[in-house]
Amino acid sequence: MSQPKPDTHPDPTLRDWLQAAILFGLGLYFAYTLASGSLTNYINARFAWLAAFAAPVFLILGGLHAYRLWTRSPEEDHDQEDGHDHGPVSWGVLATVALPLLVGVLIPSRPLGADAVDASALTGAGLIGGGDSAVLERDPLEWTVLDWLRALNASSDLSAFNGQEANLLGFVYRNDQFPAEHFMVTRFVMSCCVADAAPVAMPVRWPDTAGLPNNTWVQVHGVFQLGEFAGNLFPILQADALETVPEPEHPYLYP
Amino acid sequence: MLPRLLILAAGLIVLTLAIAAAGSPQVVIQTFSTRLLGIFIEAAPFLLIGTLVSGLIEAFVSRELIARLLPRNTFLATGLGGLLGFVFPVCECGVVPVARRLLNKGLPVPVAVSFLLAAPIMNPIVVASTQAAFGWSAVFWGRFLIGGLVAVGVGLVFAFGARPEDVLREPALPAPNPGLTLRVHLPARPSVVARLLQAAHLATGEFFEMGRYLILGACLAAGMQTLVSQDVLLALGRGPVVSVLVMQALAFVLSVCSTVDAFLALAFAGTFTTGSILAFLTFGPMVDIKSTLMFLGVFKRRVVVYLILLPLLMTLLASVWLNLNVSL
Repeated sequence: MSQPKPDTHPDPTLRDWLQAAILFGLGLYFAYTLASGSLTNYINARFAWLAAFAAPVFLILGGLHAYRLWTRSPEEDHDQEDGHDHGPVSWGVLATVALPLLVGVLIPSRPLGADAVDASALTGAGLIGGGDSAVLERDPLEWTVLDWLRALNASSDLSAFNGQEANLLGFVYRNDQFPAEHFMVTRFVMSCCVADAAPVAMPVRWPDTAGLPNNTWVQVHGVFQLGEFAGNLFPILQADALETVPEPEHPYLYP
Repeated sequence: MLPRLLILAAGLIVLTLAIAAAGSPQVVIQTFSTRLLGIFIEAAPFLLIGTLVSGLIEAFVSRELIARLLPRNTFLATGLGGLLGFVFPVCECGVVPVARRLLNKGLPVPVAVSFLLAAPIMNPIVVASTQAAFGWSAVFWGRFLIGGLVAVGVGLVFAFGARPEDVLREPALPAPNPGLTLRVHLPARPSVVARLLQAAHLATGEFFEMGRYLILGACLAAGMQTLVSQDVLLALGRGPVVSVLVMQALAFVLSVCSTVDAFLALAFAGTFTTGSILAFLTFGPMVDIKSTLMFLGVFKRRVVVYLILLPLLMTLLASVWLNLNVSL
């Protein structure tokens, strides 16, 4: 206001329009992740309402911004020389805010998989404690990898698991240290979003591991038998039936 | 502008090098993008709510209202100043101009300081995002307890004889710099629709300004989780003192808005001590690069030093004490 900059300030600038476009793009992207179901690759399904809220708000803000630019007269420009509004945002800011949009559009959406498993963290020991004990009253054939690990953690005698029948869904994870004919059926557990996702896994013995590359989703049925795995005594699922299945709608387990 | 671009460029270079070093770029990029989008998708709606609320307050609420709400007793008012954020949810970017205005309006210095430091933590949006990230856990309660105590504590330090003219920069007193003034006296009382449009416009600008910090922070957190091995992080994150210092430095540098910093903290929760996570969540909202720059524009240098060092030391002490004495 103290230094009026009359007509040197071209309006509306390219950057202003890009700002509107990014807002619009973000709205469409949030709507798309909801509609396509890829949202659950990123955040816990119980927070889907966040995306449902954000999508229309982004679209509205983008629309209003474009409308302002469309109807803006040069005199009005001076009204905006106040507060935090100093004309269009910088290229750096635009590029930074556009980054997640570009990443989301250009890179195919995938949940965390075997490549994100850090072998040293695989025991998942930190997560297993607590949990819902009511789960353990359900039919053990419906237990997930996480339920079994909780049961193991709560038990003082691992040999009690010998002969227990289980039916597990997860993706295949193997590394060089695994004995032949073994893999781990793995899930990521997530409470909020992938930032807190951690892998949990149970070892499986299955003769044809060569036919099972990492990241293959499998439904595996078998009976536990105590054995040595990665230097520890652990119940190993002796698989008698295994089928490859498509990636489930909710790839993560919610504790 | 230049430093920001430099930081951005340096980040991109480090990232590219790291990806090249980590072997299969396709795999690394895939995992990195999932982690980045996970934080962004969870956090962006909260940032949006925060900027909308701040835009609405800006357009509809007169700041003098805040001063009228407070009791006369300095100690009581300082305590309540720490809770004012629940009435006026502003994050660290919005709080400095408000606090300055309140000081000019005659609000006692300790009250303004406790408001300044507490409001970015003690507000409903931060409660909601912290709860989403950490549930009703020790981290959730600790954040508000430590944050509130430190803010009021620093406020009380200023209770001993500090007058507005001792803390504010000279030019800030009589004629505030137009770049930081708040539009309190709206000319000719615009219509509700006009104010709503103004709020939306302010929210848009703020979303981009703040979103930048969120996204750079999310890139760093996602890159760290993707590229740095668990063993290295554990080595750094298990030291009761070192982990706290690392997280405080990170909070300062990242300057992530307090409405969404909980989601970044989540990325460190598995490998870093609980005390250090709390230090990140309490020190970061009070002091970071962008709030320091705003402090310098409003307060005297000596005061800025206090405003940085006191929260730093208090959150450091609280966090290290927790790490050493309480198993969370």
